[in-house]
Amino acid sequence: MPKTKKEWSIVMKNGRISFGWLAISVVVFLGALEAQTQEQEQTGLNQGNYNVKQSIEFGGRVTGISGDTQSYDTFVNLQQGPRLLGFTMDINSLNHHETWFDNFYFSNFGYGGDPNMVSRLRVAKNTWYKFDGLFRKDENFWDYSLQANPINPTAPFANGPAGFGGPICTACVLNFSPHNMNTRRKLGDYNLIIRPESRVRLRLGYSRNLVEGPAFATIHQGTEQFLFADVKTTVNGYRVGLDVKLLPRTNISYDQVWNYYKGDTGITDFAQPFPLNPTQNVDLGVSFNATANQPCGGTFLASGFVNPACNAYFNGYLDHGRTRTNTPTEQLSVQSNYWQKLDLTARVSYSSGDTNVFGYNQTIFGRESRTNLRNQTNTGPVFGQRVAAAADFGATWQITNKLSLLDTFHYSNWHNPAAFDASSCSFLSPNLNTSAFFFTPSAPVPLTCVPPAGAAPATATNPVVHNASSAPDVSIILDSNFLKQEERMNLAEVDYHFSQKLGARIGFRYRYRIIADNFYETLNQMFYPGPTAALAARGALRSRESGEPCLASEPPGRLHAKLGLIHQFSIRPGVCSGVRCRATDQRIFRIVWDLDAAQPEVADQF
Amino acid sequence: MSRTILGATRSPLLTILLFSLSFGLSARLSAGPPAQDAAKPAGGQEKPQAAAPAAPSGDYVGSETCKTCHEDRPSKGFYRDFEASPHFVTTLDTKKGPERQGCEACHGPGKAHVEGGGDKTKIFAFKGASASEVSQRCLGCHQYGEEHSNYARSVHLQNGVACADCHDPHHAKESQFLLKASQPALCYSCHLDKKQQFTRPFHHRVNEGLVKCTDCHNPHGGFLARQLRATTSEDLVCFKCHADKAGPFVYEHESVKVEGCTICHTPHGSSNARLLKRAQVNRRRPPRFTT
Repeated sequence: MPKTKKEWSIVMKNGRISFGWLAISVVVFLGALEAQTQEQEQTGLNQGNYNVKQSIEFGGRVTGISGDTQSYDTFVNLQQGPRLLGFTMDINSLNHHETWFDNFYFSNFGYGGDPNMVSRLRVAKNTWYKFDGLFRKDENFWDYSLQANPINPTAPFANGPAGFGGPICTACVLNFSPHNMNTRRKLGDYNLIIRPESRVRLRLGYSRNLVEGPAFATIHQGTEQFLFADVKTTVNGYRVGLDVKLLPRTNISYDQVWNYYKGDTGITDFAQPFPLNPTQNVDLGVSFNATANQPCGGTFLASGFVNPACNAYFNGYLDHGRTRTNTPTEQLSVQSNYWQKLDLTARVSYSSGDTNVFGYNQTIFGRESRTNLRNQTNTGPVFGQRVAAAADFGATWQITNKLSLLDTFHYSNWHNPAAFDASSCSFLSPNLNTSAFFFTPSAPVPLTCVPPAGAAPATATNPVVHNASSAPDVSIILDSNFLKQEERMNLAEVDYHFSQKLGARIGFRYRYRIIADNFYETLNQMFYPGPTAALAARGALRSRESGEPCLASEPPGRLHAKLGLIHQFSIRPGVCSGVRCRATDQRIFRIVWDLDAAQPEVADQF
Repeated sequence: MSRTILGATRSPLLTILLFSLSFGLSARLSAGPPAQDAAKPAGGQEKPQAAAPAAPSGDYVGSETCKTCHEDRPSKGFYRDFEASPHFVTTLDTKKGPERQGCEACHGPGKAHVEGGGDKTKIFAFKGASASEVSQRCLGCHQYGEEHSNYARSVHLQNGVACADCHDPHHAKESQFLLKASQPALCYSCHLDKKQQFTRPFHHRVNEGLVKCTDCHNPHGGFLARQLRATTSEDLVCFKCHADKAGPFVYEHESVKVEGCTICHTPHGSSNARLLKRAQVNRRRPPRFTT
């Protein structure tokens, strides 16, 4: 309670301000209420043979944000500025017999800067056609930084650039998410029905799904290399369908669908802010912890340059491939209520898709100190399939008004074989300032690796600096994987209505599932010699006792094949039952008991 | 740091609300006099008349007869609303007979009702009818298509939810599909638990209007669990929008394809980033709790 006159004055002043705001809000509220009432009573304007209703709401957002703006953008993302809050146009013909259309509906909201924008268009002419179009745009901003918190390491780096030295390493604290993304989705669905009320009707459809936007990523290769991804995927779907009513209360439908997926995402190194020498900069990644020697011990030399023995990367990372997936699908379905008490539905579909990744290329250029890796290139075609067959059947027999039998059967069988025929070339060097030294075999090898720019032939004084952890110099890997699932499920139930508000059902569910996960890998790896006699004995290569590189007569590599099969199946019979009670028009209470007696899954693996 | 919005520091939420209301202008472009009698459009021209329906036979009396009493009963403009609704087009197609036309296509023959002076027991009334009876009436015309073909086995019908619980041919608030209310408010009226899921920090944009419940679920029933839809290639419905996750891939995350996306994600909403079921996924041992 205020005790002094001054305190009362403050309270009253605040009270007057509060009352003022209250008054304004009441006035504005009443105005909005009247507008709402007007909207409910809107009957439109008759223009010729059409009744037209139209409304438009312009507005704006005024926002003031304190705290973490990145979190606000992630969760809310409502920015300041003018907006088209809503636009609706509804045109209906008065006699339902106009020339081009009888109904026209167009609505929009969110345009002007909101993260979600939607447009809907419906046009129809009675008995002739119905068109339905939906366009949605979504901006999904993700910068939920879990790194910017007080437990980030702040131990300073000796000799480090601005922010890395001093009493604490302020530059070590990440104030944004290294997996930041700003994805924009544009989704369009357009459907046209020709002769919607006739015995034969034609359906046409088109869908487009475009996802694009910049994103950050990381890859663990010695350090957490900081990458930039230009995300772009596109899906175009085309649909044609035919509905035919051959018999009374019986409909047969056929649908043909084509789906085309394109993936064109490219990934590169984001930035190289740290000088390695006067002419080159490198990327040290995103993990900075001097106490734990991350990215390496003695990261910065006294000169201020990056320690050349450190894990770091030049502007040379690339990960790109053009993914193209083509999936045609055929579907036949039947719905029938020909027998009044029996409701039947059936559907069968088959889908066989191909996927290919053209021009896949992953290039690494920098240093992984653990293996002495400097350059690596991974290329090769990728191809796969998705074959899926599905069948569904449902029947309802209304025995009496209260008693009914229901049965639902579901079968699906899909398998995904896919293979990657990879070729990998690795080049090593002792430090970041030294280019790679490459070994030239004197006999042909299954894969010829082109040395990177600046690389020099290995000699006795400058050998290929393998160590015990180094990967093969040349690899040809064929990875072939096959994933399959076959499933059958049948649910049979008896349903009884004691009254309009009380009912019960009991049923039996049978489920059978087989999962097969096969993998096959062949490795053809070549280990070139160097730098010491011990390391010359890498793989199947044997060096001469003199320590010279392998001669062509030696087996160039080794072949390794691996075959595995995981086969699982399960049978799950179950009893399901339940009681439902409708207490009010809106509230339904259910008690359901589901008892599954599953046999243990059996896995065979070799 | 206290929030400042154009200098107001006391009640930021109230200030935001007030400014939003102040700046939200509502303009009606349908200027001019209120809508006149539909039979007399502006300009004095007579409304073009549709061809008169064939004379009803048997126990059917035709919608024009119904109009004599129900033009403004039970509510003002009742018949006018029906004329503006999609169901009115049934009056224009005489080939299927009077049992598929107008009011009597749903309510049944009206002769006894008329001769009984409006006896409600002499005609089918949806109010008070069982869900099965209501649905039978609607499905008589609307069943033939994949959208409604499973309604007889749907969870909704099994729990006594009839067509008329969501749709209102006479007083629809949502013109598309004649819904009683727009999504998701209509679905939330029963599925309150889902409403709170969509208010969690990470959620599909249902409340924002970008995604509808029916984008993923078929309220009329389906062959899959939870009445989920599927993509055109009979794959998980998630891949309709998240196509980059569909594959096929050489190195699959088998659980995704075998168990589905919901093995790790809660698609409605989650307190965890990326709609994950668990807060931390990169652990050797799973935590003892699930957030």
